[in-house]
Amino acid sequence: MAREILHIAVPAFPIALARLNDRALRNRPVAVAPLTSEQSLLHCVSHEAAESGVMVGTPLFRARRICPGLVVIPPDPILMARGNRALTELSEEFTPVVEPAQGRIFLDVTGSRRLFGPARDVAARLEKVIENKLGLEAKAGTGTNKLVSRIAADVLPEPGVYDVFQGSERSFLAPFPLSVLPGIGECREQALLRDLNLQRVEQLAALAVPQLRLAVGPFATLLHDRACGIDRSPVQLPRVSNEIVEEGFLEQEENDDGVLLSELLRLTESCGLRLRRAGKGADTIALAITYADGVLDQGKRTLTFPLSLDLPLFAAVEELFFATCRRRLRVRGFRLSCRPAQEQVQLDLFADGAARKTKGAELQETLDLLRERHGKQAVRCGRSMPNHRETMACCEPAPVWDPKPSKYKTLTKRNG
Amino acid sequence: MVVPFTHLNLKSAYSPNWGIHSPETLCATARQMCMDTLALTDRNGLYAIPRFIQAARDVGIKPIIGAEAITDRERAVLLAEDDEGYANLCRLLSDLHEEEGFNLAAAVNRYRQGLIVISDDGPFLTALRHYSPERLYVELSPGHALHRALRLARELGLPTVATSRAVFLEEKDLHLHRVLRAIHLNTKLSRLKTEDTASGEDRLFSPGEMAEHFAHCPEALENSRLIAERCKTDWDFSRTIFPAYRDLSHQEVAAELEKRARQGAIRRYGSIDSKVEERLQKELSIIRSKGFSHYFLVVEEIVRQSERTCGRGSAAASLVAYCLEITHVDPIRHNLFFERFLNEGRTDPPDIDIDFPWDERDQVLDFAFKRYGAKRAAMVANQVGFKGRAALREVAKVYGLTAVEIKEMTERISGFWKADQAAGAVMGHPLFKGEALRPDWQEIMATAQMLKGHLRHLSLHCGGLIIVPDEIRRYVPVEQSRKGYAMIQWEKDQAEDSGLVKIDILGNRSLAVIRDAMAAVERNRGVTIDYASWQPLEDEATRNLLRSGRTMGCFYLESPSIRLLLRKIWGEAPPAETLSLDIFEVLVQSSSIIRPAANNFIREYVARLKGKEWHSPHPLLDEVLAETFGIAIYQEQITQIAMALADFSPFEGDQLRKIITKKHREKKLADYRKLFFAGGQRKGVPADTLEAIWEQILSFAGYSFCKPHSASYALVSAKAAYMKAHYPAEFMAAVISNRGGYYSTFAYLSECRRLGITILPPDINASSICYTGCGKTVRVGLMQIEGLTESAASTILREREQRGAFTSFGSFLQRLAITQSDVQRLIKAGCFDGLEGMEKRPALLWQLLHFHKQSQASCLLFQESIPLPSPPPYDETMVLRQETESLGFLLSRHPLTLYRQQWLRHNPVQGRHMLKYAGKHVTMIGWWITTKTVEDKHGRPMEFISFEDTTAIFDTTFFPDFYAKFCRRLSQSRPYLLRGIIEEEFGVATLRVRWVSFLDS
Repeated sequence: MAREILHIAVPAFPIALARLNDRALRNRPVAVAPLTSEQSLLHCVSHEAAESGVMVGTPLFRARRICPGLVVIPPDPILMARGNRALTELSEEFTPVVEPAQGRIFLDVTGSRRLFGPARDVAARLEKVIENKLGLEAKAGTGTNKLVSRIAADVLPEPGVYDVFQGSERSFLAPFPLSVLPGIGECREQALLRDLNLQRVEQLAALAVPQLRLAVGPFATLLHDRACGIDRSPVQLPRVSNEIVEEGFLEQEENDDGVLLSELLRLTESCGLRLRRAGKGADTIALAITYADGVLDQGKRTLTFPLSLDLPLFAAVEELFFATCRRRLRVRGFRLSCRPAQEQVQLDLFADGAARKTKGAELQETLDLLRERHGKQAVRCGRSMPNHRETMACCEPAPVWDPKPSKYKTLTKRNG
Repeated sequence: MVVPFTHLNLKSAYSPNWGIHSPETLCATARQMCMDTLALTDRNGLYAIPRFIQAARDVGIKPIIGAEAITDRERAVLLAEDDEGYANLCRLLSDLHEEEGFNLAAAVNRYRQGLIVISDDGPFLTALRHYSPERLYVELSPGHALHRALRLARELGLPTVATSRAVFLEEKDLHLHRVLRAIHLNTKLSRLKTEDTASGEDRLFSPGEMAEHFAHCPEALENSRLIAERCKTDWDFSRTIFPAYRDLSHQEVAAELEKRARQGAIRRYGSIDSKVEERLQKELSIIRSKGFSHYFLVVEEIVRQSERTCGRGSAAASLVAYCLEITHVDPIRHNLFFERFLNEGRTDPPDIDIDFPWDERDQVLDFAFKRYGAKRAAMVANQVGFKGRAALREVAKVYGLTAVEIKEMTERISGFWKADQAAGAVMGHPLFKGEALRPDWQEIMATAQMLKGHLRHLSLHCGGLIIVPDEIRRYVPVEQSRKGYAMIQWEKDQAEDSGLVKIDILGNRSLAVIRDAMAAVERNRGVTIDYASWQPLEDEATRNLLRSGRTMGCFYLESPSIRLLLRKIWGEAPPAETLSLDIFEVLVQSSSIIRPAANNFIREYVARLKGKEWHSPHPLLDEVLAETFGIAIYQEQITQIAMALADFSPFEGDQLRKIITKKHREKKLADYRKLFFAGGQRKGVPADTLEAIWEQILSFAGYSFCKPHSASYALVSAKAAYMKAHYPAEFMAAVISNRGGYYSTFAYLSECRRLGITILPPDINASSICYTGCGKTVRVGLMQIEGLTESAASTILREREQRGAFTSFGSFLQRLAITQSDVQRLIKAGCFDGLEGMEKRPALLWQLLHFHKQSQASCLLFQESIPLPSPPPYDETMVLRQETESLGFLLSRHPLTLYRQQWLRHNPVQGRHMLKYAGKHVTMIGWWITTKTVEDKHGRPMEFISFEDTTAIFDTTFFPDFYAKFCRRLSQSRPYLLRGIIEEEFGVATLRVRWVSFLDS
């Protein structure tokens, strides 16, 4: 039996989410790019920006030249994660086989046909739910595989459902530009195919695989399949993990180590508490740091023995922080994850039980108890209250613009 | 009670990435604390010693010279006790910078004579103590482990001395210091380690405060006083140090110079008449008495290294230089006064600047270093500090802002603004209008505005060479530049103040342009021009070209402003009265009068040239300004005016000229103004005349030339103009290939088209690496293909020379081993269109892919023959796109033609017809060519932009109010739609822009 795959996509998802929070971004050309340098490439562009000629993958400096009013925002992984979670939850009402991606969801509704009707009906309902509950506009495509349903959703000019009938996949794809096919988005390959004067999917489908191999190497077989509308990949459920994860964002982006460590301490304490409640110790900790420009630095440490008490755990986290956070850039937030040890370490049968239970553990127990009774703020670690960041002792106001010294100064620029 | 204490350890802003305050501020503060002696000990250098000595003298403090030598392991403060000590200090610091594995203790031991050594470094002191305890002290400083140092002194039996390791004047300086350290160490404030920064205690304490710190140890204070008394403080750097020519004595050198000058005079003039004889005698006697003979001969020797040079600057006023072929303008014929270069009264050493073709400059420098040895020769340095933009960028990075945020702010800051100005600009400049500054930016600005002249590092000055007769490292410490040249620690002003005479060896692209164009003409047409006897201005075609301002590509005369000026004076159909003007004189004058502040004078100048009656502003100035129509044009006229009008001595007049044309002038200028007005009033000159003339003198600030300099350049310009008039294709090809012109390649190619030259696309069989011109065509060179490797280009050329032209794409692939991406670039640039036709470009690409696949297969067995598809030819947009991608601009057509449909709606006026619409409101279309942003006399920014349409290049003006309105929309490489009024002046039309839009929006 042919599969029924439904794809829901929120166009320019990061921008759509950012616009929910910031009304100033609405109806303006917006793009998402890491703010590391003017060379960085755009991740996502709003349709207003696309209309003025800015495309995904355009370097930032060129985009600004093309569209001087472009508002550039850095990627916000936390907001994305929240948005994705919400989309997934709504989709799971219709089928358990849901594969979330960034602002996109694949649903395999083959098995739920009797319950909810054909895929196109599910699509229409889901679109409506997303709009009502999340305030996001989505587009939907349905077809016999992920590739076709995804492209169908993407080509819709506005919210709606595009249903591709079984057997018409190849002819459906034929007139589209090559860039709709996954795997040739990369600048280099796209440019080569363009230089070879291959513009539409049907031209690619008409080539023999050995010919295509000259241009794209081993990827040729798969690409040829895709050009013919063949995609065998299943809808995959996300992996489930038992990791304990805490995420936190600073009130204000900051690069002062004192402030950053106090935030990390807060995350560590939360992780520690959850570990202790589960009666486990972490044997691996991982830290992801999101900088103000959207760049992510990640680090990982395997601990010599599992930890669950706040202080030793924080000592390990602090060490990991200094090894990971090497840029001077302001940090926006952290994600700290602790992987519980698979099995509790075998206790030593003859060890002195009382001595094993260290003072630290007793203190921690007391602290946990106090916090449970009187609130988290009842007892706090000194380091969680950072000193104020180093600033100028006395901040003189900037002088009034005095044009005199630059009187008659000349600056010459030439084209190219 | 007077406390016997002298600061012996003090860092100024010239301690790279460490110090905070300028030598002037430190001296003034010390004076306020009633100190009479002060040592400056910058880190690892004597970067500011000449300035420090001057500053100390100004406030009446006795200066002690010293430095703190710091390596990874050791540190010590070294003070120069006498001249020998100074020389040793210079040598030691040079070794510290130049020697690998430098060992401070060993070096101090090597150069012990005349040095006083102060340190609290145990192993270091122990090592030195071993040889001799003399002039060796243990340093005690508050906040730096005092007790340990005291114990060390007792153990070693050495005397102690108190210092405060002063860096700061007040507490808030610490923050700026930490920011500087974080910038240097590429880290953030919270991650600076204690040992990375100075301690907050390192302040310039008053003697009273020091006494409180050292109540337990009064002898340490006393010792500081004793040391200060031992050190020399009456330093004199005013003696001039000339190079020595081949170790000859003064008499021998003078005789040699006279002999060569006379030989040269006969070469130049045929014979020596009385006028030449008299001038030679006069010059030679001054040169001899000032000890300049060596210098002239050294320069002559260096100049001989290249066939084509251009001696510039005031040296062109010297007949001796002309005879030695250092300069090429006849100073007698063109009325150039030797006194401008050298006179009895002048105390500072004037230098000789010589231009060499840019690509020969390094060889000339290598020759000089080889001839005089690394021991005697070194280059002048630039002391790189922070300017407005860099200060803001670096501080913002320390504060952790993103690159994009920083760029958004800094790209609007002019490179001219100092740090404090930049901060002010954000408040008032139109580029920042309507933006509220975030608090963190405010703090960054506040910090950045304090970064003024803090030394970061040295870089190589573009051409200043210093040669001394004995050992350069006696006079000043030397470091290694990145290029491997020895370079002194001072920039040109301090070097000059210390009597080091520099020879400027500069690169000039236009000399290379003329060289290459001449070579091409000889190759293509067999015409040889004798460079030495060449008189370009006697040629009518050249004169016509210059008069009509068609000088794009001609050195020194190609900027929009000078071309406008030439057209205003003459134009295409010059009025009869202007034809009698001496064209060389006018060229020299016009290239000198173009100064940002001289717009009104320029208008008056043109009118007077065209016959308007004039008289000089005051009868006393008649003689001085006779030659320049009553308007001050040349720098030296400042001196002459001041002498004639206000009774300045020649020396004072020259000082005034220097102050006006150079930097650091604010305070002295006021003094000279007083002097000028007083002198004028004594001579009965009315105050308003004085005011007007003073204003005219001030217009020389920043950017102006002396006549000899302009005359030297005008000669090069004339030669370039000659080449352009007669051999436009060869000339324009040379201009583009040397990449040094005022305009972009795109603009030059448009100029070629206006000259009737056909531009041929790159071709695998016809293109060289450079652009080549011949007859009425210019062929694009392989250098224009973006991303093509140099090795690929030269491989192609070599193969073509050895085995003849390529007959097909297939044979090209077979004959050459070039990477796939290089061949791809050649295909896209259209290099094979001549062989295979443009329609086959995609097919060639398939063929290339197939060929490379085949050649990768290890043996025949694995080669598979694949039938290749036959793709259709590219459509037009694709071809144009590839052109832009691979050449960087559209070659086959003007980019404006792509927007023909859009522009037709607006019915624009063509550039070449502008004059017909003078005074009218018009619409024009344009492609951006070049821009000049200036600040008007009220300091408001405005912009002159040159655009071109398909018929002509034209100039537009954005006056301040319209600039403020549109400045944020002006960008390059877009088709502009402009509206405004056409203004006419002296028969030349410009557009005063009132509205801007784009055809592609």
